[in-house]
Amino acid sequence: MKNNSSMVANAPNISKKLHIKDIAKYKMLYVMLIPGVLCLILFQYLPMAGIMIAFKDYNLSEGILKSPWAGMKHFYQLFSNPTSIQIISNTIIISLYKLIFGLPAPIILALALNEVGNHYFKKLVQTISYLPYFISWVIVAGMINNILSPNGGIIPLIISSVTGEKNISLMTEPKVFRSILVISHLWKETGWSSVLYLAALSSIDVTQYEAAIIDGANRMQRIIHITLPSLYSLIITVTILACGNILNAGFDQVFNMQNSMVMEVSDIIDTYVYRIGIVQMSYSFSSAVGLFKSLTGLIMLLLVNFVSKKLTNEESGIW
Amino acid sequence: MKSNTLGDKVVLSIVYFTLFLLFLVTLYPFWQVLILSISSRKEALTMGLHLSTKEVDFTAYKQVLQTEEFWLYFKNSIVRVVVGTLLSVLMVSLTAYPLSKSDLPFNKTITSLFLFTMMFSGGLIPTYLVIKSLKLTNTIWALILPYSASAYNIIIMRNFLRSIPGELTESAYIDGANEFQIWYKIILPLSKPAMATIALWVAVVQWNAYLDVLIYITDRNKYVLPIILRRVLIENQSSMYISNDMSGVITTPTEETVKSALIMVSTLPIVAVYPFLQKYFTKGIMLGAVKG
Repeated sequence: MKNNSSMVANAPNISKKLHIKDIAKYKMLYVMLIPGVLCLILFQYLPMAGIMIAFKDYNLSEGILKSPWAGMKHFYQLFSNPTSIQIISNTIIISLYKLIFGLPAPIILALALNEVGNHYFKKLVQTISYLPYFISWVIVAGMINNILSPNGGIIPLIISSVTGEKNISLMTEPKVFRSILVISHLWKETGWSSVLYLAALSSIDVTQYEAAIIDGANRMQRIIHITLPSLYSLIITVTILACGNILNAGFDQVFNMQNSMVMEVSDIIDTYVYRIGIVQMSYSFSSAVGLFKSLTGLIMLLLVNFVSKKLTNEESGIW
Repeated sequence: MKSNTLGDKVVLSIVYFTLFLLFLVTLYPFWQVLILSISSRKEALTMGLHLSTKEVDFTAYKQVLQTEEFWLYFKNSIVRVVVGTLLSVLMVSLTAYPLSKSDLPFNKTITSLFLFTMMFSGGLIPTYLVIKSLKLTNTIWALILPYSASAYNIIIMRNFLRSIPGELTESAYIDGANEFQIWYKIILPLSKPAMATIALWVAVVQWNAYLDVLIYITDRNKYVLPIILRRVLIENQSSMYISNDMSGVITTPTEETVKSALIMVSTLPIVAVYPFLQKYFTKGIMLGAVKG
């Protein structure tokens, strides 16, 4: 608004009228915005206002507005309760592992696919590797249960044929459960995540490769010095966005794969909020946990974006 | 490319080998489900790899498709996907069109309000309380409306609409059409590719969405497929799909067979549109890559 008025400052008399006229001209456009903005307000901004119950002692009979204020009580509880500390650290560990393996995996896949000359082979691998992305976690969890089943699942069979151990129950083993989460995450997401990198790779100028071949660069050198550098800005963007999701360890996956035996290592913020919020109905405390999660995500996103801009002289950030 | 040295050949063989391995590892779980679902009881009970089956047996499919419950939830899922997708695509286009006009006053403010929701949200519980106080629980709207004006999809659509040349709408202005008519008659038909992308996007999310059903739907008659899938696949309550009284225990399919058949029929809609998904999803990713 300020820019607008300063731009027309030399004609102050007509500026205000012009503005009203503009609004009339755009009336229909504003009308068209109504459904979308209404949904935005109802399902995004109203819940944001509802966050206030994190600072209240919500009870059903008095509603959100009339329930008494509780200050930072629920946040003190969050950081003093050993269970919630355990849950926060589980969340960070699981999503950090997913980040560490999940970031390079699709890049490597895209680089590998980019080297494949045979069109049919490339298409075949792509088609199959994208498929798991479209299947829900409930089904994937069911498949994993089957493959890891102690009664004849293929993975325990392989392990027992090597080590001689019997009755290997991987899904209930706390030591390996997080690895199962990370591996199944990679299985489901890697193929699809590579699409973005493949799209970027398709825009590389072929003459660069030709020049490199004339200079005697071998395949590996070409990958390292031409292909990989062309992905840098994309990698930074993906990393920044992933850091904003650091407390998003994946509800659908964990909820459908966890069981009472591995609760200690697998319970994450989202499953915890669901349990104490929806099932046990302690709305205020679970909202506080949720707010902690959203705020951490926002701060991480802004922080990493800021650092990346500083490091690259304002060149790579998400905005 | 020429100049294939020995080192190059080694690198290339490693690439092909790794990709082939990846192909097998990704395919096998799906293949096993397919084979198990059509295996006879005897073969389903054998341990090890299920690469093929000697006798094909569709009993498990019959039993799954016989139950009324399955059809009810399948129908609910279909309704959710169809209504949700249509509504969302229309709403996204309707919202994105005004926002694609950079001369519209307050455009930046409204766009930022949408963008902010991609970085911060009220969270599960406050959203739940809002939807509950709007009396939307146990209705299909609780599953559809919150996602229908998705900020990400609106931004993608806005970027697409900006690439439509202005001359195409100018003549309509001269003929005295208003903005809504222009949107309806010119913009909608022109933006079919972007709409297809977003429609498939939304459809997959709606078909697979799980948490919202768990939270907002408590009425058993309004459940959708993922709920029953969890009950059968994760909580092992498949008894209702295994009818022992038919012809004795020996011919009834195993629990794993029934599970596999259920997985097959509930992924079928996704697999059926998969060729389109692959094509348009990739296009959508490219659209999204344009910085807005």
